[in-house]
Amino acid sequence: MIFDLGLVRELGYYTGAVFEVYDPAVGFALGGGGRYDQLIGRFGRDLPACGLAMDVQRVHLAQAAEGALL
Amino acid sequence: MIALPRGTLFEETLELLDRLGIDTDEVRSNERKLLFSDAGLVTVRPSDVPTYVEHGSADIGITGKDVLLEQSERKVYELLDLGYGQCEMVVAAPDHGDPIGDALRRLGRVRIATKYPRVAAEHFAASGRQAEIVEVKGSVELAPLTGLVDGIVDLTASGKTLEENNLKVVERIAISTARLIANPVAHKLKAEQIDAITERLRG
Repeated sequence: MIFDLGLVRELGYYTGAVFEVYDPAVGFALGGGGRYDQLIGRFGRDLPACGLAMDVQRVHLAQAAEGALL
Repeated sequence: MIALPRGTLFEETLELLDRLGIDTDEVRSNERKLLFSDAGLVTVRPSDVPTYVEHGSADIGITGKDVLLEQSERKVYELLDLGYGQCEMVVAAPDHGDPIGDALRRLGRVRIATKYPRVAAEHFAASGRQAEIVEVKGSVELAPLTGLVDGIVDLTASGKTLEENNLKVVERIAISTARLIANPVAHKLKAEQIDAITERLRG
């Protein structure tokens, strides 16, 4: 776990903490997400939320590098 | 792993690594070998350094600002201006009259040869002039002499090659020097090591 005040995510709807997932074997973030407390409210129901998305192909590459797929 | 530019920046880059205490003897003694696993070094074309670093094959790399300007879509962090290898990105044209101005007045557009199509296109677009960019891979100075284009956008250190070919600098676009770049993931996961290298190079 790395605490980094410099992390920026490209999507504009985040309202709090954001995070990314890394693996030493892959040069790109495996995924990322964050807190978005106002997003669902735009569609009619106030609901604080937190979520993330993972790039399945990059996760696969990371697993392969760790030998987890053998 | 560090990606090194095998080009005009190579010698000074090796001297920089010597000062960091990295063993460059094998790199110096072997011009054909490309990967030096023990020393953690890989030598590539300067314009390929951002590619290796972006994909994480190298954690950090050294290349010219000219390369980074041309490949501005690369997702790499530029950590430090290393200062050496200074040269200038310029617009140059034949040294008689005003070929670029003439072309714009007569035809409404100017033809420009360059190895840096993006830098050239952006420079002319930013100054509101229509430019037709002709991409060449080498000997850019030749293009205006044969009538292929009205002017060129190229990198010049001393201006000698331009002078030899009867070209003169008409506009200055940017100063380029060697830069230290890092892969964004390595920059987080190996922050301590990369910060240490950056600090030592800064001093």
